[in-house]
Amino acid sequence: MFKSSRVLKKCFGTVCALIIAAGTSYAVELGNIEIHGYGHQGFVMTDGNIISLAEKSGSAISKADNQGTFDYSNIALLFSDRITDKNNIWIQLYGNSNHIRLDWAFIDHKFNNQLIARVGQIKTPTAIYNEIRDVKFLQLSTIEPFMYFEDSLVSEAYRGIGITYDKETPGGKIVLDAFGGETVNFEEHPEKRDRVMIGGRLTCNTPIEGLRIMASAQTYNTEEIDTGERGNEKKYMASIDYANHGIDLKAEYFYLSGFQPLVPDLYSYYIQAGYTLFDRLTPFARYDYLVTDKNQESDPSYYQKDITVGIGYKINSNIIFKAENHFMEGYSMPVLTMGNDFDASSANKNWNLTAFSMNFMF
Amino acid sequence: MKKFYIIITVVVLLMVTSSLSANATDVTIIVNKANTNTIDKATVKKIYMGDMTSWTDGSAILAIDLSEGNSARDSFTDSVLGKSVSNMKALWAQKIFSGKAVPPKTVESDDEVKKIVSGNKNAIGYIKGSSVDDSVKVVK
Repeated sequence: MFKSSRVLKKCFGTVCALIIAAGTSYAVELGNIEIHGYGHQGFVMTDGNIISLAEKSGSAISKADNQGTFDYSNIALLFSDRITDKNNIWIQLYGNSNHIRLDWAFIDHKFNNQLIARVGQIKTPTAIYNEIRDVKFLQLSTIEPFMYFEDSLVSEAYRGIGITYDKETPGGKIVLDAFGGETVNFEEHPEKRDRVMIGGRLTCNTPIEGLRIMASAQTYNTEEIDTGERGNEKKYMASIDYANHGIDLKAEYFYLSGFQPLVPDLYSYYIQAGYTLFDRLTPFARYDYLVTDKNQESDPSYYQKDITVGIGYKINSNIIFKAENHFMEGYSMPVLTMGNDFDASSANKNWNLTAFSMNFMF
Repeated sequence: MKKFYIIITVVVLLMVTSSLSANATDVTIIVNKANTNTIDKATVKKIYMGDMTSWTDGSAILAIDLSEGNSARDSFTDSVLGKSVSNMKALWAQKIFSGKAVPPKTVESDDEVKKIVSGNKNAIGYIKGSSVDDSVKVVK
């Protein structure tokens, strides 16, 4: 990734705005190349604790406090081209408040309708949201569940090779994603460096329309930068997802077996529900819980509960407005993401985060 | 107060009915005359959901969609895919931004569908029943 000037970011945003204004409901085509995109502009404020929002890039961290901030936005452009009957090339550029980067870029090869392989930099096939964690348009809320907030929890991407295989069975369609490669950390972690990762996800699309169940796992080597000591971490996720007839129900559980003592074992889970009325209005609610050190679960620095209530309004097929309030208890997430920059000694145990966002996709 | 509740009820009913489909449009699925593949409703559903991208001979399927707002698209999405247009758009968006599949090519009219399908042996599309002519083959 590279630092971008304000001019570059404005150009990037202008391209997307012009495409949206052209009234395109889906892709823009440039010869054989299809261009899709998404983005959001948010406003986030808290009633007390100062927290970080965007990915770190050097010293630039977007923060939300009781004054609120508009420094919560992203834009992405996806280019895809069918180069042969069996091969496609995919490139996605991503920009947020701090930088523009190459999000993912790979070539896929379709052996047949069941088996496909991918080589390149690829979003990790994990749980429900990981591949689309930045596509706010496709999520109920502006602020994602804890397990997706930081890439030290659910690993965001890898550089390597992956395969997807699916098979119809009496119990539903089974999809196996398996991958291996080098971990890509979009966020800086000065204390450790993750290396080779292997993992997979098993999805069962059940015979009940809209209901799927997933199990994901990853294992990877990691290195403590100060000491050079190497170890191994494992992550496990279980997910259930039902989306049909306007109902959107999701529940996930995440567990990290950490590189002790640098990274303690931690876990997180959430359950959320939304219902779309008249194809426009979607009220939703979520309960989210994060424990960043199982041995200190009662300490607010190591646990956080979030009860979210919010509403989404679809302005048209490309744009959704969202408003939500998060009733928080504990502050383990800012402690995890900000480290010494978060003053836990004077933090409020019970606090609120309010967010508004305009989200688009084409 | 009673008038207020009546007005609210009418507004809600109008919102509900405006989101429902009008009279269903009769749609017919068409392929190129040289296409000899066995195609049933389940196959068409797999194609338009991105779960099937190649014919049995390995050639890439070119699926054609009509634009949003077209009554034939509403009928096709409802009767063949069993979903709403906005639901399908969300499902396709998940596939696109996961790098898994690209949606069918979208055109504006039945004539454009027929032109592409008749000119490409790997193409499949759908049009209003009244638009069918002998330039394409109907899937039964």
